[in-house]
Formats: sequence, structure tokens, C-alpha cells
Amino acid sequence: MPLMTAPKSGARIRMYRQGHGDCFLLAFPREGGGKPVYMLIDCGYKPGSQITRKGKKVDANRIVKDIAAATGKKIDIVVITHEHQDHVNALGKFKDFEFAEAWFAWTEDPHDEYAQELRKRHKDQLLGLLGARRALKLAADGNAGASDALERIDELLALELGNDDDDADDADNAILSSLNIPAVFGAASDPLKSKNKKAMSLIKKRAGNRLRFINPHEKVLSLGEAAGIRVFPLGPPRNVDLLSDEDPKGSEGFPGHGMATSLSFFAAGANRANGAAGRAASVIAGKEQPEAEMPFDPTFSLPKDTALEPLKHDGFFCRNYGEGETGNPDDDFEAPAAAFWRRIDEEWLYSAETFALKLNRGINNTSLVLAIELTKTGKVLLFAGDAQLGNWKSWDDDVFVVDGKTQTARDILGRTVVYKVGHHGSHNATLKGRADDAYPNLGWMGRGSYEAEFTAFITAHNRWALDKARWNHPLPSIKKELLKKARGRVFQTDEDAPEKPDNVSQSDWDGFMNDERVKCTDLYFELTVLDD
Amino acid sequence: MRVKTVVVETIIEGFFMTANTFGSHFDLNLTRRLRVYSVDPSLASRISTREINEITIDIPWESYLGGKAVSASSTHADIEALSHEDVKERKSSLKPGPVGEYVEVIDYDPASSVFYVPVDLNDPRLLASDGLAPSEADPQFHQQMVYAVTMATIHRFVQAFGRPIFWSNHIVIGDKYVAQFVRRLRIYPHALRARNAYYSPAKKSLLFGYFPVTAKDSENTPGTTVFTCLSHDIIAHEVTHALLDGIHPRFNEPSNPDVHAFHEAFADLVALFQRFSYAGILEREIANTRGDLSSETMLAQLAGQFGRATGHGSSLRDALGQCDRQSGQWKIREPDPFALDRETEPHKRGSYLVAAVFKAFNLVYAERVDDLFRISTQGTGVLPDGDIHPDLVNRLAREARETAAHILRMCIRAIDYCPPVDITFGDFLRAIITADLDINPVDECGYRVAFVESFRAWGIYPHGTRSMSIESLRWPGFAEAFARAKALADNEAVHAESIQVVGTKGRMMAQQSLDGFLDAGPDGSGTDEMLLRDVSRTKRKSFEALDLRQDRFDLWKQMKANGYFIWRWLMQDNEREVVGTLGLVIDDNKAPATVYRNKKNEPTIEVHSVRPIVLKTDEFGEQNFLVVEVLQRRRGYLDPEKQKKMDRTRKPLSRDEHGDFTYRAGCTFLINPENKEIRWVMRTAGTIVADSELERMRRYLTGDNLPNLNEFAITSPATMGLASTTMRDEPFALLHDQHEE
Repeated sequence: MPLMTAPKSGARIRMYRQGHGDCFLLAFPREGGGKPVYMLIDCGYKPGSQITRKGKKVDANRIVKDIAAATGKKIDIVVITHEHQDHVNALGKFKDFEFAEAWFAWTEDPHDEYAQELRKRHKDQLLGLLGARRALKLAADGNAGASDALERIDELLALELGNDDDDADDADNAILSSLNIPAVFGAASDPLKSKNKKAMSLIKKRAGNRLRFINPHEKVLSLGEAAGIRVFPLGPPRNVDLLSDEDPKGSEGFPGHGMATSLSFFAAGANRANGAAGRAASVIAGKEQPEAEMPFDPTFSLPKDTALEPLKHDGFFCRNYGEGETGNPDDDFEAPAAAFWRRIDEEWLYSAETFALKLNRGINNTSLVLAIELTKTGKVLLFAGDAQLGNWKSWDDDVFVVDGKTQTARDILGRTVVYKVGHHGSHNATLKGRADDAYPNLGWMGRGSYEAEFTAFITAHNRWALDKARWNHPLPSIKKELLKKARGRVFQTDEDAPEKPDNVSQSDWDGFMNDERVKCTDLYFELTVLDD
Repeated sequence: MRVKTVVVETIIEGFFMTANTFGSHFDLNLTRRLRVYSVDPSLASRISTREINEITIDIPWESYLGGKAVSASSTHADIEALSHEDVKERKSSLKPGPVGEYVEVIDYDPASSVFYVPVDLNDPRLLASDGLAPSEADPQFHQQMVYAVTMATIHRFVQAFGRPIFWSNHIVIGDKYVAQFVRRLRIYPHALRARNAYYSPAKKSLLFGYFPVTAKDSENTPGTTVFTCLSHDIIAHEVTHALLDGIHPRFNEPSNPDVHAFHEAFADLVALFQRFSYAGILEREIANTRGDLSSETMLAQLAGQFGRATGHGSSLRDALGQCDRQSGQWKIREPDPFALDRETEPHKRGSYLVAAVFKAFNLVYAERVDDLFRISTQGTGVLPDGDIHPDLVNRLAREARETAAHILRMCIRAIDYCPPVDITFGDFLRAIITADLDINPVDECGYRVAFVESFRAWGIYPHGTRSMSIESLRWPGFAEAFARAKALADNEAVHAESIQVVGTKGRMMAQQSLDGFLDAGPDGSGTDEMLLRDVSRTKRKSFEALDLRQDRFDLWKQMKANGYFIWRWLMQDNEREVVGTLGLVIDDNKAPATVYRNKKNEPTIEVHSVRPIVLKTDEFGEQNFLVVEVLQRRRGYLDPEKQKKMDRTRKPLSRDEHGDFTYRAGCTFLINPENKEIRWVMRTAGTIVADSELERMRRYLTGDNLPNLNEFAITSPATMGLASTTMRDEPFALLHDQHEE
């Protein structure tokens, strides 16, 4: 397998198809000639989401092997958009690669105080969620609703912790092993040792600590020795207000302070529910005894087990709440007071899913967003990670000045010809709108002469997402809108090649799909964008 | 024990008390007074309503008078303890908990693994002091408060409908379809550790959450816990969900963007207008705003409070008004007829309906106080500077309260006049108008006109009507519906004449057939097993008049049995006049294979509910009618090709084949059991065979027809969790969580 080449001017982009997740390899011409400048943006996948072609799974190992051959194991710039499993969990396979430079968002900067606070918060919240997950697991036996919720929570937790194929089947073990602790139920866990974290530190090490932590709108970056390339960092926003945001609607921002407290309050309950193991866990994790987190003075509280005894409190609780299977399943009866289906023992645990989602969304919003510009024509390749509403809206917060001319987000998006669709095409990671709307949205992208070349990459395995994770990725209405805008030029992980739409002529389509411009293999899609 | 007998004006002034108001479990002459928070205490520090943070509300005194005191859950001790004296003396039937006839408060806190001691509201000390003093720290006060606000809301519904209310049945679908009577709504005041509160249809319970507040939160008092069960608005909102579910269980099946939005809007409306009814609240606001209820301060505060309290953020506030860009002031919003076109998110969409009703309220209120302003300003229309006269404040407040009470009653009664599924805002408008015509023929204060004007301004139009006049908005009577249906079938135009002639004939034929039927007995040829079982178990031979004073379980059984007779009558409608007029299809050869059928291969109809209603049909008094809801169902497939294929199958489809979704259609109608007149016919947009309606529902479910939004919305049901079979069946929990985005 030969080295991946770059066009004389412009860029060549490979979207790898390792599953439900991102992995992009870009090749740019080098200043003064020679080997192309290689840029890797993320490499991760959701375990089990691989596609199969010609009887063989298209898995991360094959992908990494291909990248090795394509780059000779030397990559100029590796970009990690954010610390989620489906963007980083395959990075561990790059152990013998050399990285000249590694780019992260400012949220990863160990010397940035605000970033530190965010990271600490994230860790606390994760611990709380793990506690809740344990409690829900206890409740899940024989309860379909609880098992279902547990599965979904596990998927979300896995995103934060980073398990990979080796941890596949057993969910318990997956969670625990991704934290790199033995599979002892209820053992304390340290998210700092998660697989995600390990992948990140591997990259940092391999880059020999030539690390760049990027703030948006600060300066226009150059891509190593790549010729004719500029990079505009658009996100994630540095918005200090987000920390103290308590607006009940405002959960689009980062993991907020209020949420952290709610989460630890919630987790205290979870630890209590786990009994001794849970309390030990919370002590190890440095949290106080949960007594402090009871809503009322103990004089009002009747411990559950004794209260349910028939002779206690006139049998009120025994009669009206009861235990075990009660309730006559016959028709035309009055439902009995202590019917089992009226109990709420695990209802409160389902909030864990909401917390997990919020946590996820918060991290998604810390995605590094890069607009890579081909300077001659001004064409832009937009890689937005998993940025969602809060991040998108901030792209317009400031402007760039290049050679004396001001560049706004609207200008930059207007010249976008390649869009890496945010978060597998989920809702809220691509904003809908029109060119004249006041906030950055899909309608701002690829306007005027740039419209003809607009192409989109969707890193999603739709069937897997629907069946296994119950996620609607990509959202049908987003896909439809993209197909319309790009006139059929949409690549998706689980679709072998874009299909010619009815309203595009065969000659136009052939012009797009010709060998020089587009290549589709089992392992990747390759698109060439020329800077002339 | 001294029973406190205080003749208190009921909390609803100006309410129309029908002669048939039933107090079988509510003693008409006694009320119980209980103290509650009027504003969520954690918000109190921010909003300057500290003086009236606590109010005392009146709720019905529950007693054994007239009704059976025992039920399935009574113990031997309960029954033996009842003596003749108890029943005679109107001894309270309320038990510790509190546990009453309609609700039971069970204070279990699973996240803390504890129960809290139930409060006994009949303790003499509590009776003497209007209940416990409001306290965040005492869980018993929380129990008292949820009981009080819930009962106040329930009482409002009982009075509006003039009959006891029922909670939705507990359904078990196994080998057979089982429906159980649920006597009491259960309330768990401390069920969750989350910023959430919801009604669970599966558990027939209200679950309230609590969560901590931190020092950095500018809105709340630091170091406290916020209890959603201490918010009047949240409690009223949630119990309204339960009440609506009890009447229209299928209103939480989303078949169009209005369905969930309607549930939310209706719950908001009840909570909002109920708040207006408490003495003291309005006086203060009116004093502050000098009588202008549409002024920014009052409304913004109210809506903002409401939103914060219910966790709905600012959607209501945004629907009612917005911040003026230049001045930074919040101003009431001009109605926008295109707002609904752009919005599908249930809370936001629902806010527009609330805004429309609120505007109607304002229109009437302004009318009513016009003369008061004229009098107090000597005709100049200009009030003197400073505070307005306290007498004027009181009079204005009274006008506002009465208007609010009337509007609320109109909205509640309208629930009986809605089609059985697929509710739209336009349907609701028709229901409001028709219901009001039945109870208030001479609309002196112009309420109906206010509604029409306001809804029109907000772009709410019913489907299938040509104009927004009262006549075309009210639902058709049987004659008119019959004539239209016939004309449609015969492909003819409908004239006023034909309505007269054909319609009357049709109506007479219908009356005859029902006449003969209601007095006959079952011949066992019906094949709907459940209804048949009901009837044979009760050994009933025919339709029975309902005694609303009996125990609710017995009444429930009676209503269920009556449903059977209606069902049989419809299935035996030989000329198909009635059935056709009602939009039902019972001919095998007229319905595609996907329509559910019985063992005889006839398309089934489900008689959903048969409830009593009282109408004023002429100046000689009221008449008892029955509200009947009838439904049919059909399998729907997300793939249009598959739909066509399944529609055309020759062989009957198996009962286990459910398709991807269920399309329902049917009709609500009012019938007078005495002269067998069918008064109104309220049909869904299409019949069960209407492919276009099925298509519309399919497009809604797959998110295909979402309007232009600023986000690719996730609010289509398909995107909320596509076809997940074991997913937790908590539609309201999801709705409320979802909103956090």
C-alpha cells in the first residue's frame, strides 16, 4: 500500500470507516515539496458498530494499518477534538507512530485554571453517575424498564470512559475495565485512569510534548509546513459565565456548577442505596458520608425496612405500599392499595440518564472546531467535532484579521465546501437555518460559487445506532437537508458510495465521482479538493 | 370533637352551580381550610411577594354523607368503626396520609430509603389552625400542601362537570384485556432527586422531585433544597395531567404536533387561572399595576414565576411577551398568527395556546372593568397618580377573579366536547364554543366572541371550517352531520334545505333505532368479549340511568356496562345511518385489511367512555345527557409501500400483528337518553379508512413535515426513541426532561 499523496495545491481528505465514530486523515502539499503534510483528526469508534464488507469486519486495526502505510507512521499534526470514546479509543493503537505536533482545545490545557475546574467537575460528576449506575444495576433484575435504562446509561458512560472492543460484551466489565480496575463489584474507581484518559496521554507523549492548546478567535494558525493553508479555530468558546449558569434551560453549555451539586446530591442517594460497598466507595472517592445529604432532619424519617412492617405505624405503609407481588390481575376489579405497579423504588434512578446526557452534551460542546482554509481560492474544510448549539453560536463571537482584512464566521462558513457533520448527524449538532439568520447554521455554509462543490461527511452507522444504541444518527431531516444542499454528495460510514440524486445530470455526477476526485474503498472515502 | 362549620364562599366565585352538583363525597356545607405556600419558598427571596407568600385555601370536606364509606381497600376495622352516628354527623372520611376519596399521599423517599410519617389533618389542633404552618423543613406540611392544592383542583373539575371524576383505568394487556378501577390518585411528594415532577399514567401517580441549590445560583436562596411539591403551580399542573388522562387517556398518544402541546397547555391553563382565584393574590398585583392586568410587570412576573416554578423556563413568558430591544422592558406580545407554524416543541407550542386563552381573558376583563374606570375617573379615563383607591382595587380584583373562574370553567367543560383522539388546538376552540353554547346560551359578557377573536389572532383555526363565526365553529348537530355525510356519500352538494329535510329524517330514524335498542336486552351475538363479560357479570338487562351519588366504583361499573349497549346499538345499525354520520366504518368490504376486526371479521369499534353531562337546553331547566366516545383503530406502517401491501391483503391479519404505529379515528357524541336525540357530533379529522389522515400521521411520526426551525428538532416521536419496545412508558417524564435542552 503506497503512501497517501497530496494534490499540487489543495487537500486530500480520507474519511475512515471504522464504525460509528470519527477518523480523518488529511494530506496537504508541503512547502518546498517533498512528502505531504499529514494531519490526523481523531480516531475512535463505538465498540460493536463496525461495518462488515466482503465477510470481514472493517475494524480499527485495519484502519490503523492503512494509516501506517499511508503516512509511513509519521504524522505532522494530530488533532483531538474532544475526549469521547468515539473519537479517541483507537488512538492507543498508534503506539509506534511519530507525531510532530498535537492540537487540543484549551480545555485540555493543564495550566489553564478554568480548564482545570471544568475537568475536576467532570470527574466528580462521573463518579456520581457511576454510583447511580451501580444502584440501578441492583434494581434492574427482572425489570425491563430498568435494564433498558441501564443499557442506555452504559452507552453514555462508555463515551466518557472509553472502553473498546476488548471490553465488549459484559457491560459491567466494560465499565470497570475501561477504568482500569479489577472487576470487583462496587470497587472504587478513578476516572483519571479511564481508557479515554490513557489514549489522550499516549498521544501527548508520542508528540514529545509539542502540544498546542487552542483558544478560539485568538489567532490564525498555520498547519506546520503545509503550503497554502490557514486554520481558523472557531470553538470551543471561553465563556466564564457558563460555569455559574443556572438557567433551567441553559444546559447547552459546559457541565455547570449547579448540575454538579445536583449530581452529587443524586449520587449520595445512589451510594446509600448501594449499602456498605457504596458508602466505602464514596469515602475512598473523598466524599463525606451521605447523612449530610438527607433532605429532612432524621427525626422525621422512618427507615424503609422497619416502616414496612405490618405492625408499624398502624400498618399504614404496609397496607398502602407493601412489598412483593400483590394485585389481582382480573378485570372489573378495583386496583388494590398496595399494588406492585404503583411502587416507585427505582424511578428516581432514571434521572441518571438525564445527568449522563447532560454530561455528554457538555463534553461535546468542548469540541475543538477548525476551519481549514485553502488560501488561494478561500475554500474551507470545516471540522466541527461534536460541537452543539452553545458552541455553534459562539463562532460568531469574534472575528479574525488576515492581511488587514476582517474575516467573520459568516465569511468563513460561506466558503465551506467540505463539512464534517457534527456528532454523527444528530439533532442540535447541526443547526438549521437560512443564510440571513443571525447565528451560525447550515444555511451559512457553501454559498455563492462555493455551493457547487459543497460535500458532507457523516460518520455514522445508522442501523447500529438505531438498533443498538437507540440513537437516531443521522437525523433523517438533517440527512435530507444535507443531500439537498450537497446535491447528493454526502458520504456516510455505512453507505458504500453516494448515490446520484434524480435532479442531478449524469454528466455532472460523473464529473464529481471521477477517479481523480473521489475514491471509495471498504476502508475509507477519499475526496480531493483543489485549490484552483 | 367539634366540627368546624364555616359557611365560606367557595373559592370559585360566580361559578354556575348546577342543580345536579354532586356532593356525595364532598359535603356541600363544610369546607376545610388549609395553609399553603402561594409562591415556591425558594423563589420568595427574589420575587417581592413576601407578604402573601402564604395563603389559606378552601377545599371540600370529605365525609361519608350519601356515599358508601367502604371500598376494596377498607379493612374490617374500618367498616366496624363506622357507626350510624358517624354517617349522620358528617364525620370526616379523610384518613392520615392524607388519604381521601380521590387522592392518597404516600410519602416514600426512595433516594433516601425512608418514609415520612403521614399527617393526620383531622387532629383537632390542625383543624383549629387551618392545618400545619407552612414549613420547608417539615415533610408533613409538604403532604398537607400537595393534598390541598390537588383537592382544590379536583373540586374545580367536579363542579365544572357536575359529576364525580375518574382516574384513567389500570390496563393490563395479557391473554385478555383487563381494565381495573383506580380509586385514588397517588401522590409521592419526595419521589425523585431531580429537578422534575411528573404524572405517571402507568403508576397513576404524581411524582415530585427535590434538588439542592448552591451558593452560586443567583435565582434561588443558597443552602436550601428546592421541593417541587411546594410549588402550587407545579402541583396544579401535574394533577391536571392526571385529570385529563382520566377523561381522555388517548390524549397522550402523539399523532400530531398539538397533542402533547395540548396536554401541557391545558395543565398550564388550569394552574394559571386557578392561581387567580385565590383571594389576596390578585389584589396585590392589581394595586401594583393600577388595574392593568396586561401590563408588563404583572404578567411578566406571573409568567416568569410560573416558568421557573414548573421548570418550563421562559417559554410561557416568551409566548406572552418579550423584552423590547431598545427600552429593555418586557412588553406584552402582539399575537402572531404565524407563530404556531414555526414551532413543534410541545411546551413552546402549548404556550401559544395559553397565550390565546389569556388574551381572551384580557378582552373580557377589559370589557367588564371599563365602567369601573369610567366611574372612578369621572369619565376622564385618567387615574390619579399614586395608588388607586382600595375599593377600586377590590372591585377590579373581583371582576378579574370572576372572569378567570368563568374562563376556566369554559375550558374544563370543553374537554367533554373534544374528539376522542388526535386533539388539535382548533378542535379545542370548537369544543369551547359548543360547550359554552350548551350552558350559557346568552353570552352577555361576550366570552365566546373573545375566544374567537383571540384564537384567530394567534392563527388557531380548526380544520374543515370555512369561517371563524360562532355558527361554523360549533360542532354539527346530528341532522347537519347526517346530511353532510349523506351528501358526501352520494356525491352531492349540501344545501340548507337538505340539512333540514334529510337531516331531520336521519335524526328521526336514528332516534327510533336507539329507542328500540336501549330498552332491549343483549342477545349474546356481540363478540366484544370484555363488554359481554361486564354485562353478564352484572346481570344487567338494559341501559341504566346513572345514580351519581353511589360509590364511585359502582358508578364506574355501571358506566362501563352502559358502554356495551351503545356498542351493540352501533354494530346493529342496519341502514348505517348513525354509523355513517358518526364517521364509523363497520362493513368488512369498506375497510382495508389493516383495520382491526373482531372474530366475525367486522371492523371493531371501541366504545371508549359513557359519561353523564348536564346541559341547559331550554329555559325550563337542565337535562342529563351522555357523552359517548367511540373509536376504531388501524395498523399503520412507516413504509408507505408496506402500508399499501398490508391494506390490500385478502387474508385477515393476525391480532398480534400491530404494525409500526396505531392510527385511530372516531367520534364523540352527546346523546339524550330520554328522547334519544343525538345532540352534537364531534369527529376526528378523518375516518378510519381515510388514507390521507394516516399518511399525515405517518409523516408526523417520522419527522418528515417539521416546519422551518432553528434546530433540527427532536420532538417528533420517532426521534425521541424510535420504536423502542421496552422503553419506559412515561410520556410526561420524557416531555419534562426533554425540555431541559
